[in-house]
Amino acid sequence: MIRLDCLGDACPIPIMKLKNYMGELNTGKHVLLISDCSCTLQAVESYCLPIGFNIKVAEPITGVWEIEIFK
Amino acid sequence: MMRIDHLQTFLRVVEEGSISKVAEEMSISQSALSQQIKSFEEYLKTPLFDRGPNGVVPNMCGKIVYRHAQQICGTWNDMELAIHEALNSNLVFKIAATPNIYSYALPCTLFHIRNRFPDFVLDIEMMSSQQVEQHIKNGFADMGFIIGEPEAQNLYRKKVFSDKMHLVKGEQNLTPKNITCDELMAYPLMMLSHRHRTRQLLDDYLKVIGIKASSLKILYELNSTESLKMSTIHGFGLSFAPYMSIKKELYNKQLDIVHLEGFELESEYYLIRKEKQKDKTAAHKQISSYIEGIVQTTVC
Repeated sequence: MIRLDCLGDACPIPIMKLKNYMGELNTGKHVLLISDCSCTLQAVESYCLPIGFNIKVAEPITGVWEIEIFK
Repeated sequence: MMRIDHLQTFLRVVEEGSISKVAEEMSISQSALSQQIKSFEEYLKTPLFDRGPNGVVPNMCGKIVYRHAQQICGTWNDMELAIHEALNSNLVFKIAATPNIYSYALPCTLFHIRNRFPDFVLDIEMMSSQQVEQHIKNGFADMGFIIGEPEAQNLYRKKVFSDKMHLVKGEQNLTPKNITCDELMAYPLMMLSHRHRTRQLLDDYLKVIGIKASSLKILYELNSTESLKMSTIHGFGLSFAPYMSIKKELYNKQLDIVHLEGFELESEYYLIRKEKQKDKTAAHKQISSYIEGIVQTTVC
């Protein structure tokens, strides 16, 4: 699992960072994107779901999301 | 009739010491420029240059004219600059916000505004809530974000979000996870300085729950939430911080929440602007209305 720390990053930085891992995602690796920005989950869903990636979401503490992205 | 460009040309001739050189730079003939200088001298009823084989040198009156021409042309340039800025300010939307709101709550909202209004420049300044209010009242900013309700009655206000205040400790700090108000007085604390409204509201709230700020063991006061956090992470003492500012440190286990018995302080944050926006352009009103519509759903 690739850990992608986006804590403190505002839109659109998390998505820009995630795009750097498209190659790894396409080879079957999982990316765990961690964000404390409420827009990021929606942005990841909008970006990933239409291109065939899956996501799993957990909120370990209020206002911090762990978004697992995989093919 | 005197023209400003004649004064500007006169300045150039004095500085270059040569009519022919300036004529060449201006792509006009030397005789045309000489004629212009002569007309200027006739207008002022005095020669301005001593002419010699090596060029021209301002005489006594020429030096007086040079001094004043510099001021006149400087003022003219300032005027042109002011007009330019005024015309272009139509595309600038000025926001004043407290550091906490700017750093932790607004970044995504700003991204949405930029996306929606790409031609607008967002000019954002950070300052205390009191200063934000002054900026709005004086027309120095189009919109402001503050903690607590504005003191001025004649400002439009809209509560945009609220955030819980927490007592926190560094992960290595041995303070128990739960303490009473009486116990708090025994622990070293770091606080924001009194000039911050966050601190004033905190002191008011502590008083309500029976804690006098003067009886707390305050090690020192700091001027920003960031420095407060760093000192707490390094274990110097406990501090109060808004939740939005400590999410990252809580997740990374650098900070931990200390539950203070009976402490439930929810800070409210407000968007403010002038009640009447007569002096604003239609575009400013549009962006203002857009922000008011999205800010509650886009704060980080």
